Amino acid sequence: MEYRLIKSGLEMFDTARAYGLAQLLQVLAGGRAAPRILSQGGVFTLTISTKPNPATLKSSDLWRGAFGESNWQKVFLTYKRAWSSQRDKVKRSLESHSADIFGKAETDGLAVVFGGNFALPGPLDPVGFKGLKGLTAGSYSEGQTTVDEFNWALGCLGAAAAQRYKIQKAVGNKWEYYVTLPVPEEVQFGDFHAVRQLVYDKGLSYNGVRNAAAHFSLLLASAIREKAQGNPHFPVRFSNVLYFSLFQSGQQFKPAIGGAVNVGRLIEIALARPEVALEMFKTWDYLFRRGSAQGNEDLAQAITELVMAPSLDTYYRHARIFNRYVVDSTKRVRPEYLYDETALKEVLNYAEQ
Amino acid sequence: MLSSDSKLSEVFAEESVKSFGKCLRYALWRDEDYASLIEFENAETPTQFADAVRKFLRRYRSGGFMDQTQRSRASEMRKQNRWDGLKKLLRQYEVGPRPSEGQLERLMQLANDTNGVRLVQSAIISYGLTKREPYKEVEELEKEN
Repeated sequence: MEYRLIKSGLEMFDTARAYGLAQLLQVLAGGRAAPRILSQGGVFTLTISTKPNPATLKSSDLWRGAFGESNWQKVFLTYKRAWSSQRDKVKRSLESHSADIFGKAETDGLAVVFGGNFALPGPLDPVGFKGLKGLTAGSYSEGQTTVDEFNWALGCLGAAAAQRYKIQKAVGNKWEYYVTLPVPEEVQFGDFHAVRQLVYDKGLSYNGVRNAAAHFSLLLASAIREKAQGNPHFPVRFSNVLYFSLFQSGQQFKPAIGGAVNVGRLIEIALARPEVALEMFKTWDYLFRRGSAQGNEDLAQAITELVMAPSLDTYYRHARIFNRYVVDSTKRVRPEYLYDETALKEVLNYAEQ
Repeated sequence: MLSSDSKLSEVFAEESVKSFGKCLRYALWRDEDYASLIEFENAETPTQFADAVRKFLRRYRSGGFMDQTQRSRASEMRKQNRWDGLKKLLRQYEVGPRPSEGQLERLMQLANDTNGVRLVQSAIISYGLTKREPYKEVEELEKEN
């Protein structure tokens, strides 16, 4: 069976919809089959070997389990205490309309209808929401992005399944969330769960959302390497990692900077040259971990820049700063965390891509 | 001489760069020669780079000789992992690897413009980030001497 989701242009929302539909298909297959997500230009295509039977949804334990995810509260962060009613609304909506969703996705492809009755929660629309939806002193107001019910529900389900929220204490006794979401290029959803388990619970004390996104990308590539076990055609490939941060301002959470990290190259190294990747990722992970300690922020910043924007300049900065730690006898770097020559050549190739 | 599209990984693998990079790494380990590292990093033009090389070679003591007694002493220290004592001994007798004249000439040819300097200095300081095998390095030096 093949289902198509037509991309709307809101990247975070589109990606979440793809994960949402994959989650729904996997639940309906009763865990016996896993869908494959494929990004093909303007559409996400999902294929699965079994035909889903929406009638079994309500009685499924897997379905109930999907709504027990701790992520739901974060997806509806801006709704504060009303988050659980929103979650229940998603559940009800999908239970009553999943047959229609499959029907549309199978025939013409499921497209988003903007201007519907369902407002996108902040983490699905980081570019559009500002925390201010009412009138201000300057008579400035902006409405929320609203969409149709099917896509809203799929997006929320996908966000709960695939977005990673890293909460961190910020200045002034406030909290900040660093949100990351990998964009599938070709992903077997069953393997995605295995990779997710290796990556999503790991985290450090980051010094910014870019630092968090770069480390997440590295962990993702490292988990893929581990799960692939030397298979260069392992069916979990991501093109980008989308990221943004949510910061607390007064009583509200507002979005701050966001962007995308290209992880294609890291994953290619992980799958094509796993032994070199192991050495290279070990050193990089060390730099992120060491850089998360107070006083070593320069180390974290340099490796973040190299991972996110590889170039001769970012490599040079990384090499200079790392060298200071290697040379300084008060700082010390244990020899196993230094590069071996083949790993360093791979890093140089990565910087010159 | 490097073309404008020369790659850092190619420069890194160049024999002259490798030999010089390993000397710098050795100097950082034995002499804690932080000054040379900074000078290499700050060089922007071929002249400044040549100056950094010259200053490094002036500071860097190598090509010395240890007699049989000292060699046995060094060997014992190496086996017992007494690295501080060994460093002191190697420094005292000026024992260390040294790039050949041809390699130095080649190095200067590679760094003959701003782009070349940037690539060569990046490649050289990269050797400081590679795993050291002081045990093996010293063993090789013992054999050479």
